[in-house]
Amino acid sequence: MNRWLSVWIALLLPLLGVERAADFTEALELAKAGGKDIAVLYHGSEWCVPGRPLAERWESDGFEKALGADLILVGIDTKEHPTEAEAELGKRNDRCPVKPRSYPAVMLFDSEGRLVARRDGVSEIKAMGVLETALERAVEVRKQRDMHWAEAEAAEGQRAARLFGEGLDLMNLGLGPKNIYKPVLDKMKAADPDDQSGFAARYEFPGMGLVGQSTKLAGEKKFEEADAEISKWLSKKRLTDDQKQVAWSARFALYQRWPERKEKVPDVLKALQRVDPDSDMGKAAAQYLKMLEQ
Amino acid sequence: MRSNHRWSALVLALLVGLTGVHAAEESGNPALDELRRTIGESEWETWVAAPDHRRFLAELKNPDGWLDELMHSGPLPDDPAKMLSLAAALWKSDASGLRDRYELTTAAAVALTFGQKSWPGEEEAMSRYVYFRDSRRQGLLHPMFDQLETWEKRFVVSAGNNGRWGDKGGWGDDSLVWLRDHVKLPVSAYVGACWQAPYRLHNVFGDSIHGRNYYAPFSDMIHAERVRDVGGVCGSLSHYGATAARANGIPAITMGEPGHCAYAVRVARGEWTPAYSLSWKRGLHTSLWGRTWTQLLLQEKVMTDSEATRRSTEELWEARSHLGGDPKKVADAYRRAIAAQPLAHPTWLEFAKWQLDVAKPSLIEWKQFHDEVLVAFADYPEAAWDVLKVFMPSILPQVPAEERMPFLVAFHDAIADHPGPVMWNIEAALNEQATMLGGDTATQLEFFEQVVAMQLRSERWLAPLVAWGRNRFVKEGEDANAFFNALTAGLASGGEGSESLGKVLRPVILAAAESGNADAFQGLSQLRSSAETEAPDYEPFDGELLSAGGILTVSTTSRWDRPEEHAALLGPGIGFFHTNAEVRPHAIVQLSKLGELSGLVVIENSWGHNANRIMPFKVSVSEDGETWTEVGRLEKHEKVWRLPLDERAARVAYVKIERDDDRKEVFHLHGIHVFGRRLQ
Repeated sequence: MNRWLSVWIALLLPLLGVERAADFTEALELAKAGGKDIAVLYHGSEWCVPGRPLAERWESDGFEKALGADLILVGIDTKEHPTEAEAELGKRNDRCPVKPRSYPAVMLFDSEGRLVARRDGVSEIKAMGVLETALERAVEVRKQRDMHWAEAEAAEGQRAARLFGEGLDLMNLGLGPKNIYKPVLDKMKAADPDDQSGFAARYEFPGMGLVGQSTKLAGEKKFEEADAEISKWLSKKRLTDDQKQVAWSARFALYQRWPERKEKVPDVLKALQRVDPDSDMGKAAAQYLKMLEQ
Repeated sequence: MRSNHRWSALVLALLVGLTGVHAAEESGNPALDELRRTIGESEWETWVAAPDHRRFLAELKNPDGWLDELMHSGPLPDDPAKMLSLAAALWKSDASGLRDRYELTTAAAVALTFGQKSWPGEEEAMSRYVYFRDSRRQGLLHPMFDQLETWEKRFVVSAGNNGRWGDKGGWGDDSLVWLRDHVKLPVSAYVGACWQAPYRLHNVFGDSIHGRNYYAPFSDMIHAERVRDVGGVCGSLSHYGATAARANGIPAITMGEPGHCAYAVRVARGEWTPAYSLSWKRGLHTSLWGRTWTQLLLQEKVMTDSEATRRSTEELWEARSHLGGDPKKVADAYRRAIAAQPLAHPTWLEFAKWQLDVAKPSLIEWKQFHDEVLVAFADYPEAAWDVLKVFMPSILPQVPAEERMPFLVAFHDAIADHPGPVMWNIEAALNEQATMLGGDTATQLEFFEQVVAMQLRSERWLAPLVAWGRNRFVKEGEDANAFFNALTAGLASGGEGSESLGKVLRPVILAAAESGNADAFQGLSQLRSSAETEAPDYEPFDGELLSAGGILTVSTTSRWDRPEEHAALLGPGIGFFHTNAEVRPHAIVQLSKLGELSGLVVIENSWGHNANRIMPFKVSVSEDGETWTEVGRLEKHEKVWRLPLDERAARVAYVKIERDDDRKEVFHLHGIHVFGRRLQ
């Protein structure tokens, strides 16, 4: 009886706790099979001194034990002068779809290999506090996201779209690297074709494209058309503050080129600033106002 | 008044005692004597009169210390007295720290960099030193930094704007801190770091990068951070990549290219990798000497051969110490200097100028010197010409008229068998040679013909030579027969004279494409006599025709190939290429501009078997010409095939079209037109 229990525990343990994978390819296979998330630490043992304490912690037994979540851990040690075996390992790690902007970097991927959260560089990693807790928080975000999406699958119309959107909001990644979450947007639009929820607009907002379009139309003297497009976006109820600021800046760019509206340029900057005066864009608008006064 | 004189004499006597350096005598320390000579006697005396400087002078003379680092790390800056003052100030502020050679080499590199007249003074130099010292001590720099000698650190601590000082609001110390903490990458990854910042001609307020308001509203942000968030074009992006490397202790430079700014990262000792680079015509913003890529490679070769270079430098000082004295002593010392380090380019230049101004050798001696230059720099033709052009314009008029042309052609004879480390501006050299030769067009065409005959054996220089000839001798609307005759006569000396011009040009065009010389490739292609063939009607994609003006290389050529039509194939008209029968034949288009592609159009006018044998083919794109991403595939022949590429080809410099099966068969196309938004 005891022997059978041990066998069961041995079989079940990998499914419940923390596992280590040799590389990202193996991690992805394990994740798909077990429905687990993948936590990745990018570091460079040869050359990245600030990443060494983190790598030591990551590789320790204590780290595994301290993690409460079901996770597959992968440490990707980026070598500058790899041996043949390390180069081979590097190729298997190349399947990781996101590369760091700065080392060390910690990332969480879901069981399908989609990015859930990332922190690049020591300062971002330090800012998230205790690493184990931060990873558990990220796993919790992924779970909440999936709950939203499961609920959305069972719902219809605006409610479904809202739940899909709120799931995306939790990650704060937009549509993710290489638009990996675009299928979620597609489902959102299918459930709510007229975007009554406003969430589709949030995930379709053209960003700098709106500024480019405004200046292009202004060049063609199609001022009203450009202004109408900006108004359309500003009327969307779910735009983020950042997005609203970009829409206002697109209007600023337009009015700068529209002789009949040029006098309203300061009002546009003030509107932009009011959205979030403490943000970089809010401060830039304030600075621009000063520049205009000079 | 008399009393003042007495005091001055006393102070001077004391100084002589303290420093061991007398204004009119050698100190026995050649490095110190050279430094004093370079600064000038009167400025030197003023300098040593300051108490802090006197104390530093004692330190300076310690073996393997400051003097060694300052004097053996490449040429001195243009204000050596300032350099010395900065060194003294750095030493005063951190004497104990500077006993560590790691810090000493950093401080010396800072003094050498900020010793330029155009760079700021003590406060900024100190700040730069402290940044690297403290970052290193905290383990925040790449370990490579600890392996660098002073001369190598000059490529690190000189982070700034286009090789000049960058203050707050530009690429100053605050940007270094930010980049150190936000862009930490393995060395080779800095080559792509520029792309962390988005390429944007207009900022979020719609202001152009060419106006003053692009960054101005974001005055609260550190410059590096705002470049990442606001964006920029080639200049900002290249500085972002290069400064990120330097902030982490890795040598890097920015450099100008025609209509573009690029950068390069030194990924290992002796190995510079160009980044965001679109042309071989690079003007280095930071360099120990010279501004071309050849000189950068030469510096690596010379400076890493430290023992030979040290001996050479000391002989150079010896030569300078005799200037104004016995010319034989000067000449002998210069000769010993170049014998010790035959690649010491600045020494060759200096020796050539001195001979021209002072020694005035005979014509035979000049010819000997000329030949020595060609031997020394056989593998660096650009560097060889840089030395020759110091004296050739003055010497050539003294040469008997009938010997002038052979004198000039000898240069081409010497370099024809040497491909050199990189492409260089041989067209400019040819212009200079033609100007030196003078005479009428017939004389110059004869010179061209002789050089063509000489360069026939060169795989690299023939193509730009023919392109130069075309630009110089074929004027718009004028008869080009004289040029063609000279060209074919030159080529005939290689046994190909009976061929038509189009045919003899073919290998030259292929060579131009292979060497990546777009100017030569395009110029030679324009020699074909037939008018451009119009492309069939099709709906173009958004943006510019980025393929036009680029380069086409093919996996093989064949007797059906028409290399003179390769350039036309890139648009807006059509042309033709035809490979040999092979497995997976392909053609690669190097775009004239790096771009974000909107789409491409492939034109193949054949029909029947000729059309079907090229199928199936796939289209791949690449930023570096090495790593490819497949973006499209055609299984069944279409005369005009439009491939939209929205968002699938964000940064592309190369497009490859390759037949995608295992048949051994030929491959041919009439047009590859690539459209998109330029990223430069």
